[in-house]
Amino acid sequence: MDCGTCETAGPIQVMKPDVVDVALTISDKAQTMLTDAFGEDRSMALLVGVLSGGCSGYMYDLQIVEETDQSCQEITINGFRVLVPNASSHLLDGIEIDYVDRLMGGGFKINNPNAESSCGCGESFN
Amino acid sequence: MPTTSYQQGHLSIWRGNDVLPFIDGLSTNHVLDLQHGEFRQTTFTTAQAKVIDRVGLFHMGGFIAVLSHGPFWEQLARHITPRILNQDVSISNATENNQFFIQYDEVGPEPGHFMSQEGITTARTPQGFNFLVVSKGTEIATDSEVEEFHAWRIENIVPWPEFEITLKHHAFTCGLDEDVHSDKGCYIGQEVLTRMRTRGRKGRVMTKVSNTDVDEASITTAGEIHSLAIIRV
Repeated sequence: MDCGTCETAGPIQVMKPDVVDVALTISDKAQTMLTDAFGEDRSMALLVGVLSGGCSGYMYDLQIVEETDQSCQEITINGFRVLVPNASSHLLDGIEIDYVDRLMGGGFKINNPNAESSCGCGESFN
Repeated sequence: MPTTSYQQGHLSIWRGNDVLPFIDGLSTNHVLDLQHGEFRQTTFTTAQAKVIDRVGLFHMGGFIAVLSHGPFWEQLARHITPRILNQDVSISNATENNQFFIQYDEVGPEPGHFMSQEGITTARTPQGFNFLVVSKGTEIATDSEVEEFHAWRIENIVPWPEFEITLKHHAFTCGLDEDVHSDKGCYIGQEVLTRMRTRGRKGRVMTKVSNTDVDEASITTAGEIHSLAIIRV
């Protein structure tokens, strides 16, 4: 294997799904929890992303950020800024961000109509 | 020193800060700790734990070179590329720049490592053979037909793509147990494989058989006296 030769290797064709305009909702419980997290500061945003992996192939990735260098759609719901990366938009259109209040498996939860199946822990989907 | 050509070899170059987590999240073996100079095999599986391809990872320092089986590349690319999303992973195809060989019954680098010299990169597999990735233009003498390698595989119970390793079988069924890490986190197919392992049930398994002992339909690699077969246990 010649690393110099490898440098000139051609890129493979990457399957990139179309970017869609995302519509999403946040449940009342989740909005209450976001108010607790953000306080009165609305400069921060909830970044709802997707990573590969998990038992079902994709994993949700929720972060509180001020800005991101990812190309995102910004959606404002009742004053809350939500950022959705364009690269994941096809997987996140129509989701509901919910909050489940229980000791085991509690926390923010994504209800996703695009998911054919989900992992038992709810963190990954297909 | 039996050396045979591996004409179906496929080499892709994976670059980016997220390459190892990306591969780790989609395949059966733990690869996050792979270091420069190390070689490790891992298997990409479907959600039903059926094998898409077994690949060999060469950690080249600034990038990962992935040796896979050419006829399976399209199905592997279909599986992985939609999952790159925003992650820092870019993949290029270096197959045309290299040629591929197998050395068997031969010592090589320490298993799990590779060495590179004068355009020849040699990796030792745990199955007891070496993969050679050789820059185009570098001469390598072959002294073995591929049929002889398959006879060696039968004797040493080594699975091979398109024979035992196919989309029809689970990783355990086709003898890829050593690729399936026992306590790594979630990956596609993990629930199925973990359930099979903890229950001690693997359904069908690959094994060496006498040709007279099994139904011909279960034979996956046919030899003169012995064969490899996937049979129910």
